[in-house]
Amino acid sequence: MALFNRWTNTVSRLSVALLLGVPAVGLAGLMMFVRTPYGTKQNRQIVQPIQFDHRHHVRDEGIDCRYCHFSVDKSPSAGIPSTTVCMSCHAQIWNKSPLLGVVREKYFTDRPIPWNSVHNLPDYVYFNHSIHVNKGVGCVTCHGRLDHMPQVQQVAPMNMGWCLSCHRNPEPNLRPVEFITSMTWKPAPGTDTVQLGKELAEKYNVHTRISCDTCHR
Amino acid sequence: MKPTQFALPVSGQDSGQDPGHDGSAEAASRRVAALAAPAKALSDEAAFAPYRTEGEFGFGKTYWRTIEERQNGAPIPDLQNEFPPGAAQPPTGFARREFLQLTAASLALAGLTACSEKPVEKVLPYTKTPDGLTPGNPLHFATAYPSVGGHALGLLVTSWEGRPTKIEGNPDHPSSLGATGLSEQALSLQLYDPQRARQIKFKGAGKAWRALRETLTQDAAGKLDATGGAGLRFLVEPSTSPLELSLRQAVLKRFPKAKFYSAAALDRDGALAGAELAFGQAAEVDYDLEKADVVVSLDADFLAAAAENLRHTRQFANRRDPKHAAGMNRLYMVEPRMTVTGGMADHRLRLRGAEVESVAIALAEKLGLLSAGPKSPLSGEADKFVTAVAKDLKSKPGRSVVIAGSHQSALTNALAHVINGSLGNLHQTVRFFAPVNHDNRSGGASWKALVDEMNAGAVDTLIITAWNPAYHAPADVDFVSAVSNVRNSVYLGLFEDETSIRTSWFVPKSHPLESWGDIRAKDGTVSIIQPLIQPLFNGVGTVDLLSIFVLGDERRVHEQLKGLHAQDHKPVGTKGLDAKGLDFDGTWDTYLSAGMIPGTASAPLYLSLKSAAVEQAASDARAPDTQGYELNFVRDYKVADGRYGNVTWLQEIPDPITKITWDNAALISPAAAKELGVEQNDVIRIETGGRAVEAPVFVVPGYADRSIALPLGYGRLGAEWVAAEVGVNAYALRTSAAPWYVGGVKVTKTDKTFRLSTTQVHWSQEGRQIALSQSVEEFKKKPEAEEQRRPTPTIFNMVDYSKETYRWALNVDLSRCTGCSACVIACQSENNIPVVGKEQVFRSREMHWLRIDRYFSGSDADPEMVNQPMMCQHCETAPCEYVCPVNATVHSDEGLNDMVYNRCIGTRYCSNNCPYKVRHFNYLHWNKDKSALERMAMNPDVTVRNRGVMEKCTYCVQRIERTRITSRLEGRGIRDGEIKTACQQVCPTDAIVFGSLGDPESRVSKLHNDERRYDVLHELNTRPRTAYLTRIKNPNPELA
Repeated sequence: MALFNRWTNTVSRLSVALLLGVPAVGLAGLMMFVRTPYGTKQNRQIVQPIQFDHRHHVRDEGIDCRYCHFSVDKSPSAGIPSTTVCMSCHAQIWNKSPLLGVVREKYFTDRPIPWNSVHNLPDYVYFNHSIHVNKGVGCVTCHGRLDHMPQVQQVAPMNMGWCLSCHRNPEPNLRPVEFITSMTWKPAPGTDTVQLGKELAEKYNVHTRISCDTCHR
Repeated sequence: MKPTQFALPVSGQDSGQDPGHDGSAEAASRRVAALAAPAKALSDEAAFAPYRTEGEFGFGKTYWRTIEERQNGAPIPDLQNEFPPGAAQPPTGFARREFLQLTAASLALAGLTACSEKPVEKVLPYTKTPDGLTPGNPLHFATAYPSVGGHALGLLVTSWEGRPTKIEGNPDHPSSLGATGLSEQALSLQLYDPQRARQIKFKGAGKAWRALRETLTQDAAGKLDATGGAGLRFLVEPSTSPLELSLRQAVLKRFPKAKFYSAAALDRDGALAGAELAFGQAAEVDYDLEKADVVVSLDADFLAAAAENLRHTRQFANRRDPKHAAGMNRLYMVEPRMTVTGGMADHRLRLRGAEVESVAIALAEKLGLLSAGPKSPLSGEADKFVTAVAKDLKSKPGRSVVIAGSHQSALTNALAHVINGSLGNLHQTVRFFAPVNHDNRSGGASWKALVDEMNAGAVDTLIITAWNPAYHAPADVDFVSAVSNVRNSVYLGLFEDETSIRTSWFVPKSHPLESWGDIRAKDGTVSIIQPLIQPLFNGVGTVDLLSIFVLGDERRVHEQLKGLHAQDHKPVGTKGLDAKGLDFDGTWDTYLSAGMIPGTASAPLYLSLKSAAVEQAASDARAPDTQGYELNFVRDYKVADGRYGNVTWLQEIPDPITKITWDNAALISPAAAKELGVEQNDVIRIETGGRAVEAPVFVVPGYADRSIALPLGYGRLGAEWVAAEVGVNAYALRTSAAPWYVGGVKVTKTDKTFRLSTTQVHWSQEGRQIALSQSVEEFKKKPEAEEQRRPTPTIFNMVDYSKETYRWALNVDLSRCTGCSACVIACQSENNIPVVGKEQVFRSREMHWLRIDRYFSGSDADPEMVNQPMMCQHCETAPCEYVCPVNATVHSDEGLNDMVYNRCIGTRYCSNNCPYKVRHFNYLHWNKDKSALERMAMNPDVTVRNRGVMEKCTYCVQRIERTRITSRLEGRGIRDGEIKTACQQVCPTDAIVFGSLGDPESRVSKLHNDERRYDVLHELNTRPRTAYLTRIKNPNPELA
């Protein structure tokens, strides 16, 4: 009589498989998880203190992004417009709308509107808007169709792999700077898009870097 | 054992106990022999014979880093035991199994933290974006800061959305030239100090500003007006402010019997009295050291990084370059202690402070200006020195200068003027200006006069705007009890301190970065002080307090200031516009943006010498006191007179000479230590005039024997808990009669010891030639640096950087570097470097990315000193990168050794493999407990590091990247000199140059090709991007 029954072989094989497999699957699962839209916080509803509707301002009124986000082409930060910018129009129009009550209250009490951050990069990442906007990376490329968003959502994964994919091959994501804020720009039908990308990269002296110190300091 | 071998793991001593794995003692000894063999080969005489000259390892001279090493001929125990006790042993206390359990548990728990959502961050916009501000980009404002003597230092302050963070010098300001001293760098930390006073108090109870204002206004209108202000006294800082002067005049007009007293711990009475003696009138002395071939310093530490020295330092350093068109200058130093200036000197004479006057007399006599020499003749060594100096001075008429220390006697200062006059130096290397300081004297005499009045009951209302007089009043003047005789006393201070608890009123002061004001430089240039931020704690300024006593001027400081300087506006024609077509508001804005009012510099004074008076004073001079020990009270390099005691950056910076942090100590020479039978860290009792203090001993080479130096500014007892009880209070021994040095001091050894935290012996690099120094003659024969930059053969495939547009590199000129340590603070401020405290410094955990290594060579009585700023060398073949298991330190395309904090797991392999020991590990979470207020001092462009992460110098990569983006937006390349690292920008001597080697015309390329260039530890083939230039000395052959 053997010390162990034959079925214990199966148990031991299974145990070994589980011991190796469970951590491996677990790790793989976690790595997959952080890459899912849920993990990267894409398409998530973030409620703002004011129901600001980009659809209305961008699509219906045709206000250029840079009217409010005025520092986007000269500063690392695109900037949230100051309340004065809101009031420059809304002192005249919809100046009794209850939807704008918070704006008026904050303006007259000189308190900031506590917006909730949608695109929240980690603190050790130093992203700079101005260089991207000036080198032909359009707003829509990273932020999506804001003219379709009643509430701003993050559409791109905004993880390091996503950044690097463009930094390694920027040409497909370039556009003429005249159309930098356009939500609808497409190369004219029949354009050689590869050639266009090359030309724009040449024209704007696009020189992407992938060294760590480009973004991490 | 002298460190004459490379430290290989020779385990021979242990072989007796450890027979090896095969149990055979013979086999073990074979292995030991095999291990020892390469060590022998390396130390082989023959291998080094071609390079051997005089020092160990054959490269030049022998350096030593500690006094113990020098005297005992052996490295001190710390060097043999590289790591602090216990660091090399495995952790004890719990068993392996327990350890694994805990690890597993913590891993499991750590995993859970990933399950919680990070809270959504808020974004808070402005209600109205201020003019000229782009969120995300810093602004720079010109302002000025009063140095300890009251003169202006022009500053440029970086402000992030209204939050000042980094202080730089204003390059256009005559006293700054772009540099700042140590204390100015730390202003941002002082501004955000959470211990700053927040409330007006009357006898300890909170009051409103209005209550104080009404009390004083009623007093003024009642009793004071009736008596013409007979009981009204002001105790003020020495000040050059035109606004303050006009207010003082207005106060005196209303109260003719009121008086202003000025009392400062670091008074300049000696220099002022000296000028009066020599010229019969008051004058400020200024020097042009760029023109001076020979500089003689009579105990003047004119290269210390203090505001008043910065311009002279730059001029002096320009002449330390052997390639300068006018040749190298030569510096002679006479001093009782080792100073930053003494370390730069080509020749030093160590004498007691009181004997410096004799040297001045002897020098004047040797130059034929006096008929008699000093009362007690100089020693042979001193006489030889003075003779050589006199000869050298004579050979350079009009191109030499004698500088006397402002704390030296009036006679010494006057003699310096007379000597300069006889050599034709006046108006060449020495210039004079009419004094802009309203307070001509602020030393012992004014203390005495004020306290006598207070004791006599003649003072009814005392307004104190001077810093903390109760702490630094002379020991023989009982200011503290005199204050109690005053009915109504008001003290204006940044902190609640020793003085605030003794006055009836205490008023929080506004910080210079929070207030409006004006101030003048030595040459008279008026600078405008503009606020960078609203007063954080509703502090008020001196001007606000003085205004209460002026009738009918209810204007705010800003308006008063503008009103005063409206007189500088010169309208042309009828519309009130000036030549540029600006009205006064427009002109005022140009003043603010420049930080100065143009055309306010005064013309130099042309003075005639009153030699007879000086000669009379010299013949009346008494022989110096040579009894017993002499005690020198010296300005501290870090906390000055104590006012910066609560600034942690300054407390933690190693003193440039002693490398002591968080303390002062009685500094004595090795010979004195021997005579007293004391060692490092023993406590001695110093007695003079019936008063005594006990202080730990620190032995420093280069001090005059029987002379003790005790830095001022420590032993504080106020509510500032950083400064409290750090070090010993030297003011307790300082009298109004002898404020700077006192002889006949009795010194006794006590049986106590005290542990000082110094960074001196950490990471000693014994035996190898790190900081090169040569005399100019030797250098012309054969530059030592040649041997130290030879390319080393390698088996590695080298990365080719030659095609990169930018190849960043840094050059440090040791000939210029004085070791003043301003760069250390600049780096700390720019890069959010934490302070760790005395205890952690003792464990070698200080975080300074840039340290100044200070090496001594020669005799321990009178050594030569070399300073070497040491930071990450950005090696092209960086040893740290090979050993990082997680690629947390990697090279950038442009040759930077990048540190990626978020990858670092804290193995510390990189630090172990770094031959320069420039990596610093966050053993604890130093930033964890920072309040919101303290966090305001942080640079938002630099990551704040967490516990468990390695960090090191980045070449200020945040500045590189910002400039790169700016230049690319403008469609151009980065210009040479456009990027300055923080250490380069602050450097008073311009010793540090950063730039790209890709541009052969850049400054750094040229310096890297200089024949003085060498690489530290080049033999390790690290190929550092940071290169050094050999220090060149210019000794007088007659004194060799």
